[in-house]
Amino acid sequence: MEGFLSSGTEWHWEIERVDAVSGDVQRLLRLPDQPPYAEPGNIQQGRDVWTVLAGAVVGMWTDHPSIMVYGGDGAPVRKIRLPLTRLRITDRDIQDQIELYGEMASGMRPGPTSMTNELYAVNDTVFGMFTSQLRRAAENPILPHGRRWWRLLSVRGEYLGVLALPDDYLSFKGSFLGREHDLGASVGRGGLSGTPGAIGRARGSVRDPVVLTV
Amino acid sequence: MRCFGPALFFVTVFAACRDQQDRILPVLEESDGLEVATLRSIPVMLDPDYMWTLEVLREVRTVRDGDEAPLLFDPSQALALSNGLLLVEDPTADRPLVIIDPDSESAVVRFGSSGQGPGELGGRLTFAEVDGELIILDAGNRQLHRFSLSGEPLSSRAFRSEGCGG
Repeated sequence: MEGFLSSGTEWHWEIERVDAVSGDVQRLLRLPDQPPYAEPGNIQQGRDVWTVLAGAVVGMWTDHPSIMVYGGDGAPVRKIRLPLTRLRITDRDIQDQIELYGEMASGMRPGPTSMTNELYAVNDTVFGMFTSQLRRAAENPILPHGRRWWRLLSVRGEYLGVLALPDDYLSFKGSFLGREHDLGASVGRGGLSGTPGAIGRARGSVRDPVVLTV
Repeated sequence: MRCFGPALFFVTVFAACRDQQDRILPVLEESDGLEVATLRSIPVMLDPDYMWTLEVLREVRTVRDGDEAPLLFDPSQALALSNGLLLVEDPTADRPLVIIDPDSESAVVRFGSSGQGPGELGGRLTFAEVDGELIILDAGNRQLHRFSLSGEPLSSRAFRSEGCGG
C-alpha cells in the first residue's frame, strides 16, 4: 500500500510516493513548470494540480490545455491535449464575481484565467477536471452560478462526458491510497454554514458505471 | 430545543454514465518518445448526450433535532472501513478524526489532536486501512500515524527519505 503526497508549493509541486507501512518516502516526479507568462501566486493565471489513479499520476497547469500522464515510476508516458483555450475575463465579469463572492473576487484582473481548479480521481483510469462558472475554458458556455461539473477523461486520453454535481454539493478531496479512490460530494441542505455531506468509493473501469458506495 | 437548522446529510451517491458508447477517442501521435493523445474536438459543456448523472442512494444525518452538537462540523474526507463504519476527517473539530456508525448516525469515537508535535496531526491527511489498522499519512507533519480501528494511537514515525525517483 502506498500513498502520494505533494511537497513544495502549488506553483511548483513535487510528488512523493510514501510506503504506507514503513513511511519510506521517494521523490517521484515534478509537475509541469509554471509557464513563463504566469505570475507566481496569481491563481487566475494557473497553478499545478494533480491526482493519482491506479499506476498513474495525472497533472496539469490549470490554465494550459494539456494534461500529463505519468507512470507509476514517475516517468511521463502521455500528454493529453484538449481542444480548449483560456477564457478571457472582462471588467464586467469581475464585477459579476464581486457581486457573487464579495471581496474574495476583487483581486481578479481582466485577461486570461485558468480553465480548471482541480483534478479528481474517479476510478482506476478515469479522472475529472473541475469546471465552474468561473473556472472554465473559452469554449464552454456561460454556466449557472453555484453549480460544479467535472469533465471526465481517461488516462488514455478519451473524453467521456460531464458529471454534474447537484446544487450545494461540494467535493471532498480524493484519497490517494491504494487502487481504490474516493469520490465524494458533500451536501448541505440548509442550516449550518458547514458542509457535511457525501462520500463514496468509486470503483470500476472506464466501461463500468462509477459506483459509489459507503 | 431545536439547536440547528434543517438536517444536514451525509450522503452516498451513485453515478452512472448515460451512454458510454459516446466517448470521444483521441488522435495518437508520438513526439520525442512521448505519446501525445490529441482530442480534436469535444462536445460543448452541457451537451445532454454526454451528461452523467448522480443519484443519492443513502443518507446519514449529521444534524438531528435535539442534538447538542452536529455529528460533523466541516468534514473534508472519509474512508469506508471494513467493519462497515466510516472514518471521517473533520478538521475544525477538537478531535479531527471521527469514526461514524452510518446505521445509528452516531459517532463511535472521536480521536486525534491537531498540532505539530509527535503523534499530532499536522494536516493534508490521507487515510487507509491496512491489516486492520488505520494508517494516516500526515503530509503537514511528514509523519505516518497508526491507529487501531477503535481510534487508539499505536505509533507515529517520521517519513524516511529514500532518495530521488523519476
